[in-house]
Amino acid sequence: MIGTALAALRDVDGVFGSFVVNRTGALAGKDLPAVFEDRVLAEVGPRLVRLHDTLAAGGKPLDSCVMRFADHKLHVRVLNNGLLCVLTSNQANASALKMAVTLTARRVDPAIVEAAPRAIGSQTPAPPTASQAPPSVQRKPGVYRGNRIP
Amino acid sequence: MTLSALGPSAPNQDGFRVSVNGATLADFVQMECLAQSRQAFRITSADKIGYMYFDGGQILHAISGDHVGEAAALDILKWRDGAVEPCNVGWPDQPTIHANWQSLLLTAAQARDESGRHKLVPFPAQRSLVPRPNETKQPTKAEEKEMSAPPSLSFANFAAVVRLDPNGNVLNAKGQAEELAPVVAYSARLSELVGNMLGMEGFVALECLFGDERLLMHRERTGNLVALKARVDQDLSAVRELFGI
Repeated sequence: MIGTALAALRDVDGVFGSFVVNRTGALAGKDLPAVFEDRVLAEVGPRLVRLHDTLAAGGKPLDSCVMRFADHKLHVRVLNNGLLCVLTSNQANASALKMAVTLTARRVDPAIVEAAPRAIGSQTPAPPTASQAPPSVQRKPGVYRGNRIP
Repeated sequence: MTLSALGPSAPNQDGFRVSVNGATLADFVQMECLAQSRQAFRITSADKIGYMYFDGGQILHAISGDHVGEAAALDILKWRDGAVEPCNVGWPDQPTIHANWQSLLLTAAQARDESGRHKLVPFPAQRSLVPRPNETKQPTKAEEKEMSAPPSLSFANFAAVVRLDPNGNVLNAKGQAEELAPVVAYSARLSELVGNMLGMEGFVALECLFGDERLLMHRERTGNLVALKARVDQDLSAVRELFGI
């Protein structure tokens, strides 16, 4: 759901992709080229949350921020339930992007709560119940070179 | 603005003769200061003429019309077009400018911002609020005073301005520097880390929006960080131009 909503941002020229982290920095969804691994985003998320907390430390709530680098920008929109982050080139149409981000934020924000965190790290997921356990947990013990594998 | 790096006054000097069209005086000042040259330049714009003296990466002295020193430098930096050429004029006995060049450029940019802001017409929020020709509101005395006031040459219109060296030491500050400095230093560090992780090198700036307030921070080539707080409706185009963003 979040990935589909984020894909709309690519309609704006110069947008490479986007991702969403929840309030703890855990990855809630992404629409990025495969080169951006979840492992990297799991480290980026908590830092973005710390950046938000630092900027908001003065008492005024942060609405958005843009980090400018030599050739790229990272736009961050503060949502009720997390942060929407968009990677663009320096030439991206800022006005079109602002509108696209506003529309996407409305769709993504409620979905962050429902999305299971994808990030490794800051959040410890609740232990799964028997019915929710992934198939790999329920497999039978195997044998490798004559030894039982638990 | 046309810049000539090696003019007829320096015929035997090594190096290229460069002529650049479209440059600004801010570009020129940055170039000369970064080159740490010791040279005087004549700046002409329409019927105005001024001189700027550079030495050891700073603006040492300036003359323009009735002004000398910092006031002359700020006067010259307001000129929008003209020509710059090196010249051999008498060197001053003492420096007349003690502010660093970054501070002068920032002050000049802010003055330009403020003078431009007075020309802006607010966009009407609702059609019904647009005054009809016979209902045009007369400005109050306070508004008249503000509109006719000369552009400020200070940071008075920014809630806070701070410049930090690469180690986080405060070099210049105005306003709530004690609160702003650590926020700026840590935010820039986090931004650089995030950028590096995502493969985006060369942190240049961070711009933040807080309701009715903006925070703009910029990493200079020297590694220093400059940050300023402004109202959300304040025109920062000249500051952005100065920062190269």
